[in-house]
Amino acid sequence: MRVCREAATRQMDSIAEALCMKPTAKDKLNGEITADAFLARFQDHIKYSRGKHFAGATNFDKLASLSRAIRDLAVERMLATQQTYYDRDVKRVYYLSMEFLMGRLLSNNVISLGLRSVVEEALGKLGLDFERLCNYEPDAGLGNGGLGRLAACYLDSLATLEYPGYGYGIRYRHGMFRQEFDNGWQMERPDDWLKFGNPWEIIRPEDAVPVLVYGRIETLPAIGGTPRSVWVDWQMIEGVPYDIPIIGCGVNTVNILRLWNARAAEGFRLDVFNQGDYVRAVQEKNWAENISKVLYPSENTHAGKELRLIQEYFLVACSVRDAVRRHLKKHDSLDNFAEKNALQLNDTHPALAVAELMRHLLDEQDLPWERAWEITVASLGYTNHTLLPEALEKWPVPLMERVLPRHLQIIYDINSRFLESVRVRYPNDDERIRRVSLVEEGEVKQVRMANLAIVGSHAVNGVAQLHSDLLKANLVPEFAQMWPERFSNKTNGVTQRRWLLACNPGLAALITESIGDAWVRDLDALRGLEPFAEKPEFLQRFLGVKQVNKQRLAALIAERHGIAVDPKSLFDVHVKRLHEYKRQLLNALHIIALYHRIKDNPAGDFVPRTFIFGAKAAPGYHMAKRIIKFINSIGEVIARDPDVRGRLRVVFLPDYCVSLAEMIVPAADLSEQISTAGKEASGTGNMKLSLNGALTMGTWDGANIEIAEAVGLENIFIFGHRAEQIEAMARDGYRPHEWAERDAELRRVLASIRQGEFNPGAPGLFDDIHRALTEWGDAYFHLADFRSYADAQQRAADLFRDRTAWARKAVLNVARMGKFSSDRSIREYAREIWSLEPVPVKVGAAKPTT
Amino acid sequence: MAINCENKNGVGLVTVTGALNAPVAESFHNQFGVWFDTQPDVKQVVVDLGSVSFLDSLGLGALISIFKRIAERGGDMRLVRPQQAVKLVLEITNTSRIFHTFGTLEDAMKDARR
Repeated sequence: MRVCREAATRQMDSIAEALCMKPTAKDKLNGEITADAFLARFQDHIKYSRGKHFAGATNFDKLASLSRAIRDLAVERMLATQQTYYDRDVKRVYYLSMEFLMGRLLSNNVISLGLRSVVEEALGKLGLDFERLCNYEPDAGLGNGGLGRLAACYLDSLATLEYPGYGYGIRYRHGMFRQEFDNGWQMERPDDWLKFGNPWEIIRPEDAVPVLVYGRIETLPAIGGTPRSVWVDWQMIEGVPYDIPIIGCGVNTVNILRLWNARAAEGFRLDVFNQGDYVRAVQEKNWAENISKVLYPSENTHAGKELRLIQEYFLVACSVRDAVRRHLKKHDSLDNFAEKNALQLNDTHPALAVAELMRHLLDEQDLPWERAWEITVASLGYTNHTLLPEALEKWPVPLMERVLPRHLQIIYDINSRFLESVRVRYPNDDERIRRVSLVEEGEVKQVRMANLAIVGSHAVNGVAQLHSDLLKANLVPEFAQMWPERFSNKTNGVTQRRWLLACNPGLAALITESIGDAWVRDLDALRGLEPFAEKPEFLQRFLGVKQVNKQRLAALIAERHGIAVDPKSLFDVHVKRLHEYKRQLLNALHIIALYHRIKDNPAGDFVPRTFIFGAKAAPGYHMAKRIIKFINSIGEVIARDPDVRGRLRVVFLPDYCVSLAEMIVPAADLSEQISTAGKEASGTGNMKLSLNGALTMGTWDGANIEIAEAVGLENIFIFGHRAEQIEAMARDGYRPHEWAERDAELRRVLASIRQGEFNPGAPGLFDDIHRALTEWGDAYFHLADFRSYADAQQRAADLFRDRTAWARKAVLNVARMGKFSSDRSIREYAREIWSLEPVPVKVGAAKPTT
Repeated sequence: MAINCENKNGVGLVTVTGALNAPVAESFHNQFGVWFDTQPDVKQVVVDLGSVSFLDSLGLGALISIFKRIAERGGDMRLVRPQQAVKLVLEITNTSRIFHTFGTLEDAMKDARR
């Protein structure tokens, strides 16, 4: 192998280290630290932070000490960064998100600081392997899917591009559940990522903020005689900030992700305890702590719904208060708040920020309504992440009235003024009023959070061009008509520091050797690779890197699951949340078709394929869980069948998470991005996989369209109906059985499901899947797209036989992915929504004044 | 919690110490009520919160009840020196717009005597 892994790693280190030496403000600390000096710091932490001798230190002790030693090196920069922001009174952006899917931090932080060689050398002196230690780090899985990972990528870009940015989220005690399979069924186990603590976080109990919930509004005569609404009979909780440094790559900027932990304002009731009521003594404490206990509490119960609403408010209340506090350290009032602060709402989950900021300005700052509203709208921006109507958040008015009485009052006031302005502009248009109102009428009135976010923000964006277009045309056309200037598109992006430099060291090294390292901070520089797509020697090396990555993944699958997969086979990868619109089921139908083809012609020449799935289904989403079982069952039948051995394999890897994605993405040959057109907002997995040299098998949906435009239609497998065709079929009457009738292979696939070919011991197990595809109307158009998909898959298989031709297209994919860096996305947000400027930080230059 | 009520030449001075919260709110309210009933000349009341470390909703409810009682007598209630945590609660609940709040006892007493 031309590019061996160790050489690649060394080269990657030198890239990051060279980058870190580049800024004019040289890092006096990290640039000069030697392996011996670092080793001493590491050993100090073993001894003084963990209280152990090295000989008795566990792997966790070593990991925690290493992380602390790295964190120490980031802290100097973090202090300098915050001081610079304060001294220069810069405008800041606050990214509010209920999810931050950070994954592991150690490896990325070491790379960002340019310390990999130093760390490896230091650890080597003790006989420790850096990469092995990294693998002990639990994923910070504080998110569910793309939206949370996007937030993490954006933090990386904000810091690397030297923007004053903060993340605000919740420090869930239990993040996304750990997925196990029991007889092919998904089982959810609690994620316990904090079991051994989190060495990256800095706890700041002194900055805890109060949050009030429940109660009622009473009107009392105020000073001066005007009656005022006061909030009484509430319950108080406290938000304690936990700060995680976000280290910019190759710069001195270290921003902060501030995660809020809930605790009781008065923790322990000694008076109640002394009366012998031990349960009640800790009741309030337990209740408060539940707020940050679990990511996505089940909303199947009223209590679960209520907890989720409180979680959303908890994030908003803590974050807004923190932003206001920081502003008031430098300014006498909030009058210029919008000039100095931008708050970005990552989906509707933090939309209560509209009401909360208004409450601050009205109640705590005593500003008149009009001025408070101007400041609120000018400060807030809202990113929409879904077109699925069922995913648009609504909260029952009675629930909101009980939990947030003052906020409901403010929302009603906003709505009343807003609807009045609509009536003036569009007289006698009751239907319009009904559609844009913040409150949906019905048996139980509901507050529409998307409408609240749109009305309360100066900027609204979708996350891919098609999505932004559909948002304006279909989802909220009345708003787009009223305020066309508010709407824009900001296509998602991914950080190449994690999703190429760190996760694919072999390819990163090959690229840098060929075109230099500029791509690490300017992904457009990958364009320089295009000529290499014509160089046979380069293509061979490119294929060699891919092969190493596939072997690495194959080894992981063998080690963790005892399954042997052939690294020479086509790795066909489908990794993302499990949802019907993402159509893992379409992939499964095609696998069955392939299986039948091989069975019919055992001597035939088929391209060997390994289908690799990774996906978690929401615990209450029964059809999604059945699809997981279905795919696992197909895999079992295929694995047992000697006729297809060596040619077909289906592996569903449990517990898909960021760190697993970092192993799968570099190893993929084919990237399945096959959502029903018009349903996927953007996707970011499509970008990661293409950036790592996988060819995309995709529908004309989300960011696939822009990827196709960027890489060229000849370098991607696009298939299926477009969004407008799907819409037309849905409107005019889609009859899935007609598609089956005209396709014998599809008919046979459906028949095999109905006849129980993949559930021999459990009759009827997959009947609902068959019904969903047929008599229940096939809501996600699997059958309509099947033939086109199967044909595209055949084209992919044919191309895969010509390794050079395949590699050429894959290289062109990599070379043309510059647009899909989160750096580009963040620059667009900064320029067009936040009006934010980069603020370079000099270490050692800033003197603390606060 | 400890409460001390004094009549300072027709102005009531109520000094509270400790947490003004669920276990003590009722007692605070009752103690004040008993004392207030015996002071018919007191219309203006100053509540010194300088030593109150914590205020919960029942504590605030007690303050509101006292405020209403004083208002019934045609008087007013003033708060003095609330600590930051208490001040924040008064601001969040909007009661800072209901209660006159002063930084020093002297200012509050002076205002009460005007």
